Amino acid sequence: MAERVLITGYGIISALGAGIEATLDALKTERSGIDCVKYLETNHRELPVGEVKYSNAKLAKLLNAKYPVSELRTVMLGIIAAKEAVTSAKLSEDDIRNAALISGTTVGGMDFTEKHFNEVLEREADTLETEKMKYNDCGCSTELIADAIGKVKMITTSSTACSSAANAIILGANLIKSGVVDIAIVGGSEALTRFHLNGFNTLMILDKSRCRPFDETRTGINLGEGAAYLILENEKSAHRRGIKALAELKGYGNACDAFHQTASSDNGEGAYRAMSQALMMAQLKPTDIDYINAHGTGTPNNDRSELAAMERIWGASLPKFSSTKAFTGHTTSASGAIESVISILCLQHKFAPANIGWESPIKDFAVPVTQTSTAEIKNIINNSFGFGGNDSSLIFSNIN
Amino acid sequence: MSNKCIIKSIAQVSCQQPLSDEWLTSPILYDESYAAAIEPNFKEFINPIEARRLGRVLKRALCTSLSALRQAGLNNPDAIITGTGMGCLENSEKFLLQLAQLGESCLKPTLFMQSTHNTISSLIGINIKCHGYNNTYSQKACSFESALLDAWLQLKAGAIKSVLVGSHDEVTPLFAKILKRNSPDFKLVSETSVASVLVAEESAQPNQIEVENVNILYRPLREELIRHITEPAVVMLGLNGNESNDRHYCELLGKVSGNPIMLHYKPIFGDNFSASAIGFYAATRLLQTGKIPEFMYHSKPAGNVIPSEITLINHYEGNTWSLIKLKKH
Repeated sequence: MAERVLITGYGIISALGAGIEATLDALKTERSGIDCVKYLETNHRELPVGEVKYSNAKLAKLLNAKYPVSELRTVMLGIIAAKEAVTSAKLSEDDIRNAALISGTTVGGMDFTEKHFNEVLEREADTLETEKMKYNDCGCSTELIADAIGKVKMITTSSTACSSAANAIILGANLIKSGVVDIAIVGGSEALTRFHLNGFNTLMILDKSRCRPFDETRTGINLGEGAAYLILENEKSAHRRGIKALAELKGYGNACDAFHQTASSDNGEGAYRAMSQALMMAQLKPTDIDYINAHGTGTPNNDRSELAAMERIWGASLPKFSSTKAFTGHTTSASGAIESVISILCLQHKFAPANIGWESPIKDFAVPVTQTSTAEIKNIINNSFGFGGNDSSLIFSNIN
Repeated sequence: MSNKCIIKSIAQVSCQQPLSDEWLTSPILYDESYAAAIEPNFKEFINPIEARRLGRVLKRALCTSLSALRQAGLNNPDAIITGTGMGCLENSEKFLLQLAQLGESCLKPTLFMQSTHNTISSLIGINIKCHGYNNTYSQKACSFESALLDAWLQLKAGAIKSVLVGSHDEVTPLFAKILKRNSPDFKLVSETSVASVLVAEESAQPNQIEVENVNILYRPLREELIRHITEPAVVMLGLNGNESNDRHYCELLGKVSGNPIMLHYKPIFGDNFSASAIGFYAATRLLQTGKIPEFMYHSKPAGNVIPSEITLINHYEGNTWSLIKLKKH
């Protein structure tokens, strides 16, 4: 497994806006995308969210999308980000023909399903309006994204809740290292739904104010939505195409906390293993890491568990770390990809983004980056932890 | 990429006798269009208090997984990789129903907690305290192959030595109706839970079954598919008796020379997003026993066939195709 995995393109859409430029600007000027609910049809107006600031109609217009794509928010967000990634890597039709698309999602077409579920229930079996249920599953969204970006060689969908996109990136890297493909379009997409907003609400882990990861007073998550994709490519292919790499995916780890379906262990066993494996694969010492883009959801349980895992590796001298979820909201299945793009921007533009909204330290634990600041950053760990203890860590490094 | 990927054990729960190979000699035949899985004796694997908390697909997945691990004499694999087309469908559907009927208040957390697709793989991880690599794929009828491909890549590369790979799908009555109407491709709709332990070996021993290759192709040209079929071919196809589904296979095999021997499994095991996993199980058993029951033939050649290689081919609506090549050493 000596093959290097380069990142030669990226694309993103989130509450911070559409595209790399808007994202970078928001991060540098510490502008959060979290706001009151505007587009999601929900009674929970008290819960702030990181919505993409486009209605479905506007997204459809942007993409010139027709039914059913025009009704499927996960798909439209995915197409916007994937197309930006493909363009940024200057992939030709032929390049795409030999590429894999690996996408992470859990929501899939649930936003559309939940809007029409009542119609299905109200009708007798033989007149079921079943056509509208056809787009619910995760794999369907990946097919529709693939169809919009060109003829790809293979597709699949990883679905591990909040680490889905990170795991899509890991499979893509393994496909490249094994020589199955030279190029993989990897990432994830997730739209807000009543289904998971209410689901998280029943777990009582949503904050009614803007989320404050790693703050003593934190009480939970603000859910967000969005999509991001990276173009992973082997050196030979990037060289042949004459494309300059943005960064390198140097290491990755996936481990299971094996503790509880919706809670993390006190000592962060899964997180510790995922980060340790990533460091080992990257052949880096913990002190080589300049910044950690933490999972940092803002729940009391996650942040304490993640800090415990970090301290097991770095002891008392943690590198710079922050959670960017107070910018974007927790974009669940897409978060691994959205925060990978953010990490690559940090490498390219040499800064560590603030953990905005943070005020008071958690007793006996380290303090995150409080102000977006210039910093020499060579290696970044990006963490994504999902329900069921599906924990994954990715290490992005400067090229050289 | 030098290791061989060997099938160490495999277990199934389906509309045939659970955790059993009885179907080889006396398959249960169904006239209905929907056949639920026959439940095994869960008590052998799960304590009753835990079982009460778990949905059907979770109980079955745990049962087939623990059975495969026992057969393989393995407590803790290096990885758990799972496919599921619809995940914990029953819980998702119930949560949707509550949302529709009760609105956005008074909802209970249990259904949501067990509604994400990765609940299955995590449950197995939690149950056997396995901290290794854990991943879940959900790609319609190609979910199992996605999990298998991930496992195969990592075994070949030496990143892991053993892995529990499975695919699990439950079908609710409402979903069965939706599936029948939206995808007439599915003739006998059923439920599937298959788990298998695969291990990396430097070289294969006699009679071991190797997963020689796994390919997933999206909207491939027929020529691309044919490249992966070695002649003289014994192919196990996702034929299910429905013309709109079956014609894709017939067109493809029509272009393969040397009269390929065509086998099927969906007529007795039914169809769902995890059905190809039961094809994998059935093919493994045919290779192990060296016998092909009459009802497995789609086209019966003259004379006796003792297969040493089987290529499994499956597709969904002609778009996503998968090919798995199994070889008996």
